[in-house]
Amino acid sequence: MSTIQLMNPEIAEAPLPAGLRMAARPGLREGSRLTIIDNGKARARDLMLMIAEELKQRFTLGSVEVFSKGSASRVINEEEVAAIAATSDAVIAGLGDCGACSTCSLGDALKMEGAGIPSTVLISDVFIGHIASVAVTMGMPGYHTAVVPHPVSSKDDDQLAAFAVLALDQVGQQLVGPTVIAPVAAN
Amino acid sequence: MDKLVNVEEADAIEYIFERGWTDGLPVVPPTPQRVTAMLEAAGLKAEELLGSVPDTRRVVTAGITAINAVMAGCKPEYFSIVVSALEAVLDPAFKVNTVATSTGGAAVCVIVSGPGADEVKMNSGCNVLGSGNRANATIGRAVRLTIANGLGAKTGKLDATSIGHPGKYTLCFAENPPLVPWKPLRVEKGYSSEDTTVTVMATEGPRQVANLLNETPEGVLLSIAAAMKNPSTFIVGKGGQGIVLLGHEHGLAIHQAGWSKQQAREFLVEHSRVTPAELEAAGVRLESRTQHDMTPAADGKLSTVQSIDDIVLLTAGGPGAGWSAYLPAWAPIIHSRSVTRRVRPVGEALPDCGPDICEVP
Repeated sequence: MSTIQLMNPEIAEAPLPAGLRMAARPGLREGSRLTIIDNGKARARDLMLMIAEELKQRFTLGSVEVFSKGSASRVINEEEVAAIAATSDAVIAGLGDCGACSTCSLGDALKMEGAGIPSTVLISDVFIGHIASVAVTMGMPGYHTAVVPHPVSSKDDDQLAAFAVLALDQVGQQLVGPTVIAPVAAN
Repeated sequence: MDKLVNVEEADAIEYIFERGWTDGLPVVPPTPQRVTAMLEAAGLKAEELLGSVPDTRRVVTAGITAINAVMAGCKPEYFSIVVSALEAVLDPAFKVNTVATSTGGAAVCVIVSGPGADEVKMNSGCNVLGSGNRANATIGRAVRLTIANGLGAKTGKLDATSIGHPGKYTLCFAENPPLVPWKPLRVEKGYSSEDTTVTVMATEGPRQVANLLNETPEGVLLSIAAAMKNPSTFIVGKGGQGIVLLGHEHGLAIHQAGWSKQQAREFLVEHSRVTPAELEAAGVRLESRTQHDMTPAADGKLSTVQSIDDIVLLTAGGPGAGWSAYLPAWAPIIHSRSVTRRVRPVGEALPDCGPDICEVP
């Protein structure tokens, strides 16, 4: 038997960028400003606005704004991050109901966290595993997601309203909850 | 894991399967000697960068690409073409992270135009999209393996493909030189006839287009346009790109009627447009207030491709009947664009940017 050497064909990820972190969560105070980062997927804006409207009532938010990034296949750039951060106290990015768009919406949420804005990403349930994997790659393993059933794009207003109720508690907790992603406690 | 691993030679292929480094088919074990030969054939050093993917913090080197090219079964003389294809894939306009993670299941279609294709004996004739030619098969496979291994685009990791298609193993072919005065793809893209270029587009699977009884340019092109405007193709009505591969008889019918390639593309742009009623008849709902603008134009129609520049039209395939092929981009143009790169001859220096452009004060 003879031994040969094989070269590894995979690429190691570069070190995490400096400043990647979760934002502090002081809580959504009265008058807080919520921004939705809408990726333009079908019914995404409608669903997120329904969730935002409920949050507005619950937390007495001051405003709800929509930032339309125009394409679901890109992550917001640094200028957009700065502009959103300047006018927001919390962010919902979405809708991740496909592979590429969920990846990019997660990227949006992580960038806003890095800019100090409590955020979350809204995805549909079939992408839970995918986003868990991407979150590892993006340097934030275990990052929270708000999840609604898949699909969203074909649902009518009543069905979307039901989805909004499902997502409401998740989004609320994630925007005001602990700043550290706690590992599952062993007992 | 380590960059180098020792294995029994007889176990190497099984070891590579176990590591998850293959596309499901056996590969050539990437020994340092084989990888070095690949790099030397293109005059490249392992550490030279081809590009990066900031979204996933990956930097793609010539070395990693060479390892995957060895595994794909490439001969060293193919490597310059593989490198140019990867450089095109890593162009920001291609948005490879989107292409590689999408549920849409895109393949990277690689088209080689120019004398370099003949030099490595690529196939541009019979069975052009089929099996049997080593250069076609392994160049395309090397691109796919580099994306999978290098960028982590594998099932269960970053590749969220729902269905996919066999082109995700390999999808690469050469252009058949068109009859004068038609210009080859590379010249249409602004390169010299003596150059060799690589064009990449993220595509769905090929649709074969049959029309065996009509030799008019309108008849042939209407059949292709019918394939292009199929309502269940994702880009229809949204504005995407596509590759139209004119088979021998179809190319002749258009050429001998005196049509230019530009005329043919203009015809296809116009006749692949659809009405909302055609989409709705196929159960397709129009998107409203989404990233895809599906507002009909003044004449009530929606574009499948908005510009002649969005159609890569070329000749390829063997003679015999009346076949062409159409490969639609996997998603509308806002998500990815086709990119063309010139294959740099071995040893060619990078362009000199002048004495004052690169100065740092």
